[in-house]
Amino acid sequence: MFKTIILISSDQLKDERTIQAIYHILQGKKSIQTIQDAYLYQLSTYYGILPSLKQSFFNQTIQDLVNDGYLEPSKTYDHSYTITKEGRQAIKKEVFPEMLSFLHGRKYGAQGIRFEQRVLLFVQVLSNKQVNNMNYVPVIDDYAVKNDIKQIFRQLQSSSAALSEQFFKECHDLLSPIDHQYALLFVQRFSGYKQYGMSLQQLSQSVRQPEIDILIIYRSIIHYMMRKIRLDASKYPLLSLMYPEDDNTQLTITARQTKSFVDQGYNLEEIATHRNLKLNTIYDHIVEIALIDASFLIDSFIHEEEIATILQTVHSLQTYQLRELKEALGEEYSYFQIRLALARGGTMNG
Amino acid sequence: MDESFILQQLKKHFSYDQFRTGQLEIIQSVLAEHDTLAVLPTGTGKSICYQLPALMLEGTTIIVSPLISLMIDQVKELHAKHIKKVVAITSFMNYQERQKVFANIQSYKMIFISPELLQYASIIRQLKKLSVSLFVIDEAHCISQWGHAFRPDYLRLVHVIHQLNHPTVLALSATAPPHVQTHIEQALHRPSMKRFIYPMDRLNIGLFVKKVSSDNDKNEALFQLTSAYHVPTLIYFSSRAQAEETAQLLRESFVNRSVAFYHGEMEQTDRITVQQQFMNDQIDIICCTSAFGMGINKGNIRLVIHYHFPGQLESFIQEIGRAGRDGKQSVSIVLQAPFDHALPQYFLEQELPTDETIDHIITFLQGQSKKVFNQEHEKYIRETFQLTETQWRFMRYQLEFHGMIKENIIQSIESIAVNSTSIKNTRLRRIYDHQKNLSMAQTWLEETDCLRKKLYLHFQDDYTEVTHLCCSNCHTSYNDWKLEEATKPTVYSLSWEKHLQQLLQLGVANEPKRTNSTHVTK
Repeated sequence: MFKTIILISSDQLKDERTIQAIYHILQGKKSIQTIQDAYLYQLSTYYGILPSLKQSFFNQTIQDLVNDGYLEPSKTYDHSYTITKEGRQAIKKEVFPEMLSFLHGRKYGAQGIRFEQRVLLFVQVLSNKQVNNMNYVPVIDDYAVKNDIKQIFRQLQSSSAALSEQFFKECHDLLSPIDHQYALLFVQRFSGYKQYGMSLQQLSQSVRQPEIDILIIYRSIIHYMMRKIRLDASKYPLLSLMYPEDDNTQLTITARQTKSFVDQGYNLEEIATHRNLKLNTIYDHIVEIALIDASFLIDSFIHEEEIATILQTVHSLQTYQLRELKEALGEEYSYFQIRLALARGGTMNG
Repeated sequence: MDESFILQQLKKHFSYDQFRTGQLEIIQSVLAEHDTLAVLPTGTGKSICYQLPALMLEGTTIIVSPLISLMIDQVKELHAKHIKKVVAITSFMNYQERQKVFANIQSYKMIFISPELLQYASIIRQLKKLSVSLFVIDEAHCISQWGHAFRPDYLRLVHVIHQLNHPTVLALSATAPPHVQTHIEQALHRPSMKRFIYPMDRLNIGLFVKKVSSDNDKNEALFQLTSAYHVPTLIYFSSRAQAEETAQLLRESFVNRSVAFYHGEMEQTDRITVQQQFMNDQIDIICCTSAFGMGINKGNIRLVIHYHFPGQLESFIQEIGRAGRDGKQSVSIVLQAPFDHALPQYFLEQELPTDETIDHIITFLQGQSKKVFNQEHEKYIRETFQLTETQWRFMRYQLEFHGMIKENIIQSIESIAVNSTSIKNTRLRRIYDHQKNLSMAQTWLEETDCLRKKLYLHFQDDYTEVTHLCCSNCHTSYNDWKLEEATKPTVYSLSWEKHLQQLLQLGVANEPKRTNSTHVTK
């Protein structure tokens, strides 16, 4: 799966970005460049699905794909690689295509990890409550998550038996349509009374799939569940409680501050002066906000027709490269406007 | 202090009804503010000896422990017992986490910390704000240069104790023969500690050496043993790769046993998973290196197999000591092949830097004299000379010991030759000591007299004879070992629905309770 994702990404990037761009996307780097790349090349679904991906592991996988003949040296960049014909064939042989289609990193990435941790801890606490056992080592160490679960249980009035029934019912509804082998992987990671869940490493040994693929399958199921819960929260009252609050945390802190100034009606020059930042930095923030927040209005920075012109140029030149676009569009358009248009264009396509 | 009061406190905090051997005496000594040195065999509840006084005394108790995972486990266990005012300060914490702990430093009853972190002035400054009533040194044999697990920073603890205004000191070890005990006292500048030394004999562990002719034979023997004895089992290896490979082999051969491996290179979460599953009887065979075991509190380990023999008898005693903590009959089996000593010999040669490397490092540092010794220097040295953690630790300590680095400033020295010769001699002495340990172990394996007698008389004046299942030289065989109970064969969960229902205790009321089932193997 991991390899397929890299091949798909390389295919989408069309050798217009280095292979390192894929690493940044998977790892969820919070930079304009990466967020834009994810949108423009329709890789948002993979954005931030593997925050703890190690560079060395990524490099090794690239090397393996080169050795397999699925990647070859890039024609555009030194020390970079692009997909081969064999690589494109290999994508079709992916054994878990269904799981890949569940992923939506841009929407559920950061929240998904929090949701996953809450579910894991919730099951363990509930299982132990069922037998009135107070002495156990929590599977999730994170203080914030422990606190979340404490709060959730405080809100719940039902008996632990009733909660268990309800939790099972909701899981049953969500997991039944999924291939049972994945559903089994999913629940085998849960811990409970006198039972400690399997680690990714152990799951990987038991089904003989790479550890990273198990992690991706796990993330896919989480994203799938979140999508279903969001569509019909009333059907999943218990899991909805565990659904993390909508968070602005996808924005960098500094962009969040800029946004609150914009919301208060300041113009960009005023914000730059007030925050003692370069105007270009504020532009970066605006592009970032436009990318992430679809409801953010950009008409004060660029007109509808201008966006259309820019996107037309993109289409006729078949490129997303800023420099090339700027040359073709001329002095009338600033880099800032081109980027904004790309951000919104990306949103429309993605 | 009154015995019944202490007992009452034990019940209140830990819900135990009685003390185990030695605990009460040691606790009384500590509460009476005597500096105390206690040697208790593994598995006899060492941690109660400081945890209970820590809760009874005014002020804070600091516990120095050599392993981060050990500290984290202890804190988790205490939390699980609803003893919350405890914390482990580790190098894993980020700046904010550490600041948070420091902001509330007064509120902790127990603080676990490594000897390395205690070398930082900033940390000592924080600890000085406290009134420290008890200073505990766990695994105190690490102080001794003549012990097998020497850690230079342990030697510097004497300064820490001084800076903390001389609290009562409790040094604990499971493996400190008399000369190491003496060295602990010397190194702590406390020549008259109250000593509580308990015999290491474990009467319920049968000692067997099985001679084979190759690694193939060893695997064959492993298969026989693991199919004959369905009991919680540890198998010790000196190589990580071999532990992993053998685990895989066993996993493939036995569908009804659940097998895992464990070594120091694993991720923290995977390590905790394996430990917890082993505790819950979800795993029953662990192929491991010496990294496994410290702090593992499982009563029913029945069989400890040594695929490789450790470099010294002390480690062996510690490792077999993990068996039979519940007092029931257990067995240790060493698989020995003719060329086995090659591996420890190899490790021994790898353990310390070579003479050549020692010269190079000293020459390099002389080029940097008068400068502050910083992380860049360390990184450069470790990478250029490909030093392991242990090799670097040795070197760093020697540089300080010989005054080549003083208060983090690189000193210029009169003669490179004199200093390097002195370090090389230390190296030789260490290698000689290890060699001696190794040949002692070798001799024991070749012994024809009672193995029990020969093993324990190295460390104490006396030993207790055992009639049933004594050792392979006393006319018994482990074939005479009759199991009282075996772990049940592994049960697979067939469907995710069943698995989740069982986990949530739904509809399992009329089914037998699952205790030994597991899903770890295929």
